[in-house]
Amino acid sequence: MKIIKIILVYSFLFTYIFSFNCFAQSNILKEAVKKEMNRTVSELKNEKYPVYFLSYYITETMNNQYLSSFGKINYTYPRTSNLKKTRSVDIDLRVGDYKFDNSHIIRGEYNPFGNLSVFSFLPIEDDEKAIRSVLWDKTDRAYKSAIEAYEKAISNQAVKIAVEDTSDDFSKELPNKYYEGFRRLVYSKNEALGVENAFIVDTLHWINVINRLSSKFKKYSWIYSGDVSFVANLTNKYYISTENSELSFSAPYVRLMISIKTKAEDGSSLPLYKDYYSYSCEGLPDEKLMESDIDSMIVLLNELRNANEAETFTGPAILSGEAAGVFFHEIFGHRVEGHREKDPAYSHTFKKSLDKSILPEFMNIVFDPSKKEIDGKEIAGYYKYDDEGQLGQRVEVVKNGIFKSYLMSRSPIEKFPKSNGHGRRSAGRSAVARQSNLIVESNNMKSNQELRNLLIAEAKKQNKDYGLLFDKVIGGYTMLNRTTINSFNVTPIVVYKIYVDGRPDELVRGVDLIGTPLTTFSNILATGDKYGIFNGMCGAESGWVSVSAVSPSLLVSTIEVQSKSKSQTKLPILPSPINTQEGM
Amino acid sequence: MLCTMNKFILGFISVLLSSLYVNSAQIDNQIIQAMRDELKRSMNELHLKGLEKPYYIEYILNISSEYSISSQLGAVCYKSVEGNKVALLTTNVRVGDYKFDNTGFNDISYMFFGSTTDDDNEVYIDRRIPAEFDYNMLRRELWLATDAAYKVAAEELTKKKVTLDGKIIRDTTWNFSKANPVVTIDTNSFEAFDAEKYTKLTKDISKLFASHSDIISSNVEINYIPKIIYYVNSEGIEYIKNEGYVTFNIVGYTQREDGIPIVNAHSCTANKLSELPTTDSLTVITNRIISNIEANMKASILEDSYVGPVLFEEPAAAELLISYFANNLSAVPKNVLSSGWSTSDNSGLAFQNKIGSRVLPTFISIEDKPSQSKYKNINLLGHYKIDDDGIAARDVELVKDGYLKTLLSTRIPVKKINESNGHKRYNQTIYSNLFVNSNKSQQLTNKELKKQLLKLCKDRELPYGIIVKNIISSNLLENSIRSLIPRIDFVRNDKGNLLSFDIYKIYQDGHEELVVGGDLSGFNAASFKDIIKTGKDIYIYNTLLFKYATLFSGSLTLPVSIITPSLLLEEGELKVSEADYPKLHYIKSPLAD
Repeated sequence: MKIIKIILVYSFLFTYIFSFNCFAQSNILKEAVKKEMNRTVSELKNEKYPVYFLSYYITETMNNQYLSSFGKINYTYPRTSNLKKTRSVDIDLRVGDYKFDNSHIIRGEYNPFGNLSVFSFLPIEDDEKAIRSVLWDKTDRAYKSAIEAYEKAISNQAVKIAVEDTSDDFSKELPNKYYEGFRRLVYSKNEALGVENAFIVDTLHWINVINRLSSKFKKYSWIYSGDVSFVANLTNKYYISTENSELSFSAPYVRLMISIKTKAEDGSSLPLYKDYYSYSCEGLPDEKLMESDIDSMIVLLNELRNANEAETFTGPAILSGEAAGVFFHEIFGHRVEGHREKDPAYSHTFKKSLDKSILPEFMNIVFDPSKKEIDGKEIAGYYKYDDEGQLGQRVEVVKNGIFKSYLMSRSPIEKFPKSNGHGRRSAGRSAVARQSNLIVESNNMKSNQELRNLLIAEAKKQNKDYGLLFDKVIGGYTMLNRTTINSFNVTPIVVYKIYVDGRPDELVRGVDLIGTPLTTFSNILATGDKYGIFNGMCGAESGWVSVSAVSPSLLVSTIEVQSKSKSQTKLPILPSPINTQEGM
Repeated sequence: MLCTMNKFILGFISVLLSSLYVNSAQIDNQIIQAMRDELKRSMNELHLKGLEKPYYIEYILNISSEYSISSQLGAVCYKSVEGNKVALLTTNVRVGDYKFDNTGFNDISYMFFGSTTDDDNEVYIDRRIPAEFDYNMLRRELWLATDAAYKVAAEELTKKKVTLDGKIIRDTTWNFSKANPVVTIDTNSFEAFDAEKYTKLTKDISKLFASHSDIISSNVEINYIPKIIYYVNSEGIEYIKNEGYVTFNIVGYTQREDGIPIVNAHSCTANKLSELPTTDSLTVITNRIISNIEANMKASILEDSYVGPVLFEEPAAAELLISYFANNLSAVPKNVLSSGWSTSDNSGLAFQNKIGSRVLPTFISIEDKPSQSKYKNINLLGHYKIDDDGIAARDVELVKDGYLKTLLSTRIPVKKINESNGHKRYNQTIYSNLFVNSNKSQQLTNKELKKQLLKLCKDRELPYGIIVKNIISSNLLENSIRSLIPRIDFVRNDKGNLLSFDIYKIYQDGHEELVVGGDLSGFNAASFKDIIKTGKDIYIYNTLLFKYATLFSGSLTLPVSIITPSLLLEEGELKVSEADYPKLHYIKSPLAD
């Protein structure tokens, strides 16, 4: 299982090579794109299938990624992912009309949405001829595949039964105009002099920080992976469409991730992760704080490897805010992504639940991409415009327990003809409805102690010796697997038993959550009064996007767990060859 | 100001870089020492109760970088010049003995389901470790990797024994041959990659396409991959060696009015940056590619399939040998399968049971000479002193007067070949510098070869003969060209890799006519028995072999040299291509404005 694709650079010095100013003249780029767009539409207007919509989404990415293992920089991914600077284009070309176009679902096909957009790398230098030449060639490809898809869709429609959902294929939206100059990633304050709105990443400093942090694991022979990674990413985006939209903006972020792993005596793999996210390097916590977080992680990991394995259990539990956030993202959020309602291949969990109660009355769920922080902490699902050029809007998906709305891209569904700014994708994929900042709100908040007392009372009521506290989980959108939409992809890694008889809490390991996730919703009794924040990357059919999940802790009357399958490999046979501690 | 500063920094980096690859002897020694120490401890102490101890352990630490720049029409498209070092550690553990051990066993269940976890800390093949040397770090990585490798090896041996239980084993070939301890240091200093110089070079060369609006897309790229390998095994074989190459690729693609796609490309491959052709030569090569593409756009179409004599001129002859002959020259060990599953890949097996048989006309002999570093003052890309097992490279006479004498081998024995002749490279059994020698009596000048071709045609009442002048290398096809054109099957038949846009008809009056729409897929290893004459001149073809990804490994590129004269085949086939063509572009190129 790979942790995330971390790219490392051997030495900070090399980063300077890229400080040449090749992205500053972006007007040439914009002019080149406009020319090709206009030329395409006008030259193809007399063809059998004229183009009714064309957009170009240019993404310039400047990426710095480093990983340090046990105090040393460990470069991992070669080839294309080590390109620090890339410029690419996603072309969305449509023939037909808003009602029925080449994006129409072809029923019975493996990937019914097709790969609508055409992707290509572009020259990173501002050379109009070179850029236009690539755009021309790729637009031609996009046009040919649009015709092919459109003709297929027409014949597919002729042979299949009438669809239930007769919504348009593409929503009509008003044009958006927004201009923000492209930012530049620079490597020092000096270099930033005279650069407007520079995104400063002192890579030398951060390499030293992650080396210092990861060297803390060196002492312990029983820590088998001890990684700290740092990612600083700046994306400049330029969007233009034949609907008269034109957007230009930048999206920077930095992340620092800690990942450690050990094994229990019985072979179970025990990982722990910690992640810090910000929109600037200054927003990351102080090194001292991260050091003390690492110290706590080491103590916890040591406790985990010595902890007892959990038994099968059905009973009450508290999910910490962070765990609850992941839980909602995975088992709820993916089911309210609107475009899936159109595809007969998906289970339409909430189709019949519109305007009906699906959660306790005291709960609301909103998705709000316009929020950059919550309680003074930065959250990762922020964006101004989505990947279809639509303004990211706050959507009340559940209001007072009642299901109110889906997350919408520009692919309309019954009763939802417009986008609400949740059409998202990574470069090279077609946008579909995806999550942003998921925020769980509650009108029934209890203090931690009250929640704990309620848990104990509930356990007693159910004749249980204990209830469970899920403190930390890893979900499909963290650093592990790609999300499988209809599976339940939440893995608890830190779980405590809270005994009804007043014994101290007991850490247990090897727990797997099972059961029908949706019934869990109806079992929510109360929530805590503090928010837990989970920032992560979510992967689905339209690629990886940054998201967050913010939730108070939840008290659930019934949750079902079983023992987790574990690795068959024993602990290392020989002791560590270096002078390290066997214990804490 | 910024510009000057960058130049200064670049200069500094260059100095630093050159020192990165020539690790001080002290660091080299410490790396080897860490490997020796953990190896010794593992050989002595690594043991799971009830299972056998390892009888052999080897460590391979491979540290490489990759520099690449790609440009189109004078503008940089991508650039990776940081020289990030990637360190990959491979640990091989053998349990059992030389006669019968855990290897040579394809355990399907292991490949699909994994008997260990997929934990990062249990990876032992190509395990990514920090490239910056630190004794303790390396010991820790070796410890965890050896532990994981041993557990798998011990389990595999048991499974292999169970699989063979109850069978009378008729093949008594050993699993591993013994080798004598030897220590080799074969390193030289790597050249620093001058990012500024090569950025300018790719831009300048790619700009040559900018004035040709009839060429749809083009690309110029340089890739430089220096590498250093550290090796220690439990028999006392140790080495430190350099490997790596630089390649400069130029590719152009377009389409004719009738839809036929046209590709032309050239790859210059060398061991050293300084051995790359000069800017002037690259300009000449590129202009030749452009004029060839433009000539192909006007060329006539091959109307009927052709069967008859074919002359493969030197570079084309080398690619023909690579595609259909040379891949059969390696010994392929048989594996025990844990089920009735067998590999469907039979390519490269044509000569496995042919030792002693005639595989070529009696006037041709073939040798593989890894020891030779130059031929006629030109560096040979396939040269090396020791192979991946640390075994001294041995020159091997593979075909003598048309008869197959032996095959290229590694330490894994096969029937009739019990020992290694030092041909394990890039984890493959593969040739290095392959020399095709023909008897003087059968050698002709270029002019005479054409004359002979026409005579053969006349005898068979054929109106014309076929000359193939150039074939695009499989490495170019699979990498540079694949990324440039909409679909690879528009330009090549999936049965064969031979792609040529330099095919000529030659008529009795001696005039030559370029043709398009021909398909060269009808050759195989036996076709080479039909060579009736060769050229007098010898051509040195330095290239990168492309090996497809298989279930067991990723795709690979291997530097080799083919040293061959032109080849005249009495019988060859040029089919009319049946490939579908892409539709033409709807709009004309913006370059035409």
